[in-house]
Amino acid sequence: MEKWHIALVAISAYLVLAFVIGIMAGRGRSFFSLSEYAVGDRSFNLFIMWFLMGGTIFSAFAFLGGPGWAFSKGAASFYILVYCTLGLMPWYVIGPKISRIGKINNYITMGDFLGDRFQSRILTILVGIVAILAFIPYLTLQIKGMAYIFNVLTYGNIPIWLGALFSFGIVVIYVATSGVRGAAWSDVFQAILMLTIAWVLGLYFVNSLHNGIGNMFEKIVQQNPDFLAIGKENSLMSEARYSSNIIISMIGFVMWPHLFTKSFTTTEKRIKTTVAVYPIFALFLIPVLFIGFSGIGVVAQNELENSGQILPYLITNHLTDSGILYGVVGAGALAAAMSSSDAITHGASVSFGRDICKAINPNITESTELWIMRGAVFGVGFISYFIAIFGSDGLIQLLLGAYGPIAQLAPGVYSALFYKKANKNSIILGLIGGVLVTLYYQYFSESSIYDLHPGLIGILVNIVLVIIGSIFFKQDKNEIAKAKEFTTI
Amino acid sequence: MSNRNKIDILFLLFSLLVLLLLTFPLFRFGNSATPLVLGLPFSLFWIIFCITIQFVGIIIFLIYDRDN
Repeated sequence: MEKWHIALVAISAYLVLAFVIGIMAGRGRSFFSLSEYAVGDRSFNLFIMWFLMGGTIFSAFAFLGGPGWAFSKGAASFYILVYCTLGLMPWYVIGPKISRIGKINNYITMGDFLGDRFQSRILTILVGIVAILAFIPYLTLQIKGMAYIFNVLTYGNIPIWLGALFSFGIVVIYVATSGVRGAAWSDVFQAILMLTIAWVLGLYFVNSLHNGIGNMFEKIVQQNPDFLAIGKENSLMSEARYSSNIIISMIGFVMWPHLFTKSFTTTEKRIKTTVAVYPIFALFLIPVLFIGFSGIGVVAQNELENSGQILPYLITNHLTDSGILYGVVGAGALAAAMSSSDAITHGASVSFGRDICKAINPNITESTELWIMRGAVFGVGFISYFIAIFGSDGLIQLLLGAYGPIAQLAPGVYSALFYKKANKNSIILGLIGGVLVTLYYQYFSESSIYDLHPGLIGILVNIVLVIIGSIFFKQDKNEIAKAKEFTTI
Repeated sequence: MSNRNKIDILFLLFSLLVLLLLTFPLFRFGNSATPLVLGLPFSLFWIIFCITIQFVGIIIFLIYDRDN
């Protein structure tokens, strides 16, 4: 048996297991309940929440991009660590409020929440559109990651289209049948697997290539100490960009609709506890960065087409003894990509059914809505798969810009809870203005102001528009009642 | 001001403190490759240290929250 055969068997075994867990998760639960499909009947416990939030965030980017950043950009990669820890902190304050009001008014999406607070169906639809536009490229990236791993580890014997079809096909099926519970339970399994593998690999490469962590960093320091700092002469990221990246992540993190709606899947107390234990997850990310650092001095920068290939390169060139180990690593990387794509596919299907279809035609029954959502899993899945396999790199780069604007939802969400005078016009104005400014600095402007993150400039404009709009426009009677309900919850 | 709001504001201030420690200008104190601490560059050690503070801090908030 050749080595790639063993790898293929190990990966297949993982896929079967992930599939079975995803499907089994939905057993004994109502297949016909919208609340069960969308928010797991609001009953998730701490154990599931921790893995669900962690697994969702720890994506293909963390597994491939993380080591790539460490390898090519040095200290700039610490940003990944920092945003993971800080990103969830605001949830401690807003999560419980969102959960409480969601339970009273039966919300399942961010569109529900904002649309009802500001009494505007247009706002609901806008939120739905922004969400789906951001979900598709994110998903595309995960699918590309899965296909790439499959392809590399089987020495090109499994073509890109087939590897993606296998791994993502499984995700689509268990999400469509088991809803958010399927995503959650498979995330538990996937997160445990990828964390274990990240540690084993990180420590293995550090020790086998450099004889320990201290030695490795000493060598890097001797070569170029600025590589391990930010904003120095030979560093690869400026102070302003580093700081504004972190700030925008902290504002935007929980605004991702698939994370935001997790407020509806559990209770207030568990949200707080999840936030409290979440930093442990970030600490688990450290060895992933070690993998990238271990490549320095071993792999020449010009040996790779792009830095994201550092992990597969190290695996294929410096981990060649055991086929099983090799397959297990592949499974870990697939797990990282799959545990993000299940939550995103699910989020997109719920947004499409509730924020777009139900908002346009409020008369559809709950059961029709549920079937639209299950159908949307396949629809969104198909579109993302198609772009991932046939889209050009340029197209994908362009699409990725679509998730810059996610943070622009933040002023709306915070105003909903804390700014009584905010009204629908001001929020819509701010959202549109913020998105346009962000996109301008992302695509059309030569340089950003002070090298700040484009999203941060967008947020400032957004906030100003919300404040001016709130002074200028008046709320109607329904809005006043809702404003009172939301700000006193 | 209700007790709930007071805790929320304290928590936001605490988040802000951790954020400030990890972004510039305050991150300048941690922003250096040397000395190596426990084999890690000082910048990485600083970040891990802040994450630990954050972890302990939130646990304290959680306990305080439960008592109220």
